[in-house]
Amino acid sequence: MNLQREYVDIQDVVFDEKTAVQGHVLHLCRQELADLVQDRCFARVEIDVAKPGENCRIMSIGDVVQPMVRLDDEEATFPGVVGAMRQAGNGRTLCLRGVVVSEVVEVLLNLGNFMDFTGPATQFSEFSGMIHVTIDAFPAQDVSKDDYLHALTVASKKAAKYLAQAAKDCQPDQVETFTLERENLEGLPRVAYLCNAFSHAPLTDFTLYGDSMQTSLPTIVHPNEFLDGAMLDRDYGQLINADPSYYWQNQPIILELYRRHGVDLNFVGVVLSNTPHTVTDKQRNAMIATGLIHRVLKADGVMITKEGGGHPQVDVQMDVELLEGKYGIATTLVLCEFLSPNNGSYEQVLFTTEYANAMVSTGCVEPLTVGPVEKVIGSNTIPFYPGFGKPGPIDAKAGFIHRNRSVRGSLGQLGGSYFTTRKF
Amino acid sequence: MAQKLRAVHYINQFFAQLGGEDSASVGIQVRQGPVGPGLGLQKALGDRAEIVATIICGDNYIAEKLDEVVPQVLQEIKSCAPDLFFAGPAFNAGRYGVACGALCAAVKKELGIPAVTAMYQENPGVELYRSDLFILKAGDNARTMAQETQKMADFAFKLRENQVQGFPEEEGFYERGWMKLTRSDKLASQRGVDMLLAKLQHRPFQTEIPLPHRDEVPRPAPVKDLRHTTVAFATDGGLYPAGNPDKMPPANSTTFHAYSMDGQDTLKKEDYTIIHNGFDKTFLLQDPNRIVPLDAMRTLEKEGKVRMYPEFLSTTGLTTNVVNSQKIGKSMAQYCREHNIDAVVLTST
Repeated sequence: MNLQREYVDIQDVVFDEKTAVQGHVLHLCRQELADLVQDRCFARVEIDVAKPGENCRIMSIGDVVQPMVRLDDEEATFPGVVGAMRQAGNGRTLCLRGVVVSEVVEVLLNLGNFMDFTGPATQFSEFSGMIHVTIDAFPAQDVSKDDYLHALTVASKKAAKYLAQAAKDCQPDQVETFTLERENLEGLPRVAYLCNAFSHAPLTDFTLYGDSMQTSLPTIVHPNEFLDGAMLDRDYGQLINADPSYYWQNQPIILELYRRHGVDLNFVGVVLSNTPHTVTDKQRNAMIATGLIHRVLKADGVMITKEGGGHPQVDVQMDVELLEGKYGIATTLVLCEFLSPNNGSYEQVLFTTEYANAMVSTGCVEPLTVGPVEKVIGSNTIPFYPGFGKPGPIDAKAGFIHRNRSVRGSLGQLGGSYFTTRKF
Repeated sequence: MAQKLRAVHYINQFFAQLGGEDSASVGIQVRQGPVGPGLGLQKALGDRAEIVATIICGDNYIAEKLDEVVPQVLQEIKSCAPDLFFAGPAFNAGRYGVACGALCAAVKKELGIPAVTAMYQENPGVELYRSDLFILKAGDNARTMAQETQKMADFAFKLRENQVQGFPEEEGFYERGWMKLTRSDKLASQRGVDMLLAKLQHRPFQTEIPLPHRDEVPRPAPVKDLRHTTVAFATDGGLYPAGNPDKMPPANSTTFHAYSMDGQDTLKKEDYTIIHNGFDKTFLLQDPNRIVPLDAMRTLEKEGKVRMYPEFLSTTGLTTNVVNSQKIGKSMAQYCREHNIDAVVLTST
């Protein structure tokens, strides 16, 4: 597997009659994009743009997707979602940088989120520094919430492919090659990545080639498949517990392991596992996943991440105990310290196992006050967050008190966070 | 010049030169002015504060009866009307450290004045009282006495002026169990791989997340005869009567409520709602018996196998901190005791 990602940097997006990329400016035909993503589930679709520094807020953001097209096989871009079922991770893929596609959800979700382009919330999310092409889709009458959300998840991938296609004739600003086949790997520690995804229920899940992992057993996947759009977010039920697709396309652990592959470690591969509901299922997955790491990947050390909320911590505990206790393989966990918002430093993990002696924090939950803005994209409100501020409806335009973790893209569990915590 | 602050200093029998282990049972003594390490402490306090009294107590005397003796010592401290309180430094003396910690915690709580102690990291007083107060880091023996008393004096003034804002490493105290978000110059992914390689190569590394301290909860005795046992349901699944009359929150609960099921054979879906942000509620909303299985319990009751308590206890178990979880659990247990409930079926999601 040899993936060549060609990056085209976008510095501005302007509305125009034709969609094209010219000199780092994306000219966007709104109507053409709206027509492309239209679906029977939508009453109407509004396309807008939000830019860094603008006095603007997006309310209730679903997925955030990096524009991407597979140049050698355009038909198979985002395979299983909007593309043909062909293996990703090989060949040339074009990615736009500096611009993302964001879904604006117009049905009420459990755990609301938002994003600002000015003010204190911008420090929490890398996305506040990018230009967003927003797909604000309003549900058609008598369409179920699930049908609506499914249409939305497809719409953003269609849009992401469409925007990347507009840059096909551009000279890439950077080209990066990803391959595990390198020389001089001997003697370097063999490091694997155990990626615990969260596929809980339809539309509260992560997808692998378009399907949920609810009934999948752990499997070895090639890291390039992540970087080429085969693994995507589809979690609307536990939205803030899920890293959006952008972070699956730019999987932070995989990018870091690739950066050091052949330098100070030997990246031997990825095991992808779900974090199921029941203890027996968790035990089965931990057993199979760790067995693959030991017997097939023959790793000396493993990076472990999880998605979802509290209960997947049980999965990582089982992983650590088996890897360290049974196989003598060193582990490091990456976790967000969000279990208890009162910021007690000893209340952030559910387990105690002597083996979990190396853990990295991606941050903790703190209240966040945001001020008024001139422009709001998205007509939806978000639920008040109990414990922070006064209970009551949230006025998107006027500002409100919520929490740092409700900023889309903040404190990501996949390791794409510059935050940690200091204990005192 | 401002008036001198009044300080009280607590030391044990050893540092008061009353003797070692053989004198560990001596009771409370109050002396005017500084004694033993208090002389050095007074020097460190300088013109700003005066040690008006030194309270001395045997290590065994206080450590064996903390509940009794701490209030007595507190009374003596109070009668000196102090502005500052010092205890120790206790170094690695275990009983002394526990006494210093207990007294500082009591003084902080009851008198609200700066209460400062210092001890060695392995002193059991650290683990017992670190979450209640600032315990300064000290060496394991009295060689460093002059430095420790200087640090204690400086810290007390800082505390009094609300100037303690730094982190443990900078301020020299033991982490109290709280945390604050901070920005790193490296992504978590990079810090993680750095840590893994350090671990693999046996280089030192520091975890960023401490493991929790867990209490051992003893397993209760099994129910001997269900027929003569009153059984109740308690759940953290967030099941409440329709309309959520007690306005229970979808996360971060601090209380529970009990709801009657008297005269019902099954929970009807139109009568109930789920207030909980942590799981897919579809199946429970279809049939609330899936979280509080009243229907099954009524069958057992009709068969004479069990006696059912006609209420269920409910809270929302999501991101509730440990302190509040314990509070809810204790109040549920209290409720069961008051209502003669013998056993509880706990259901969760």
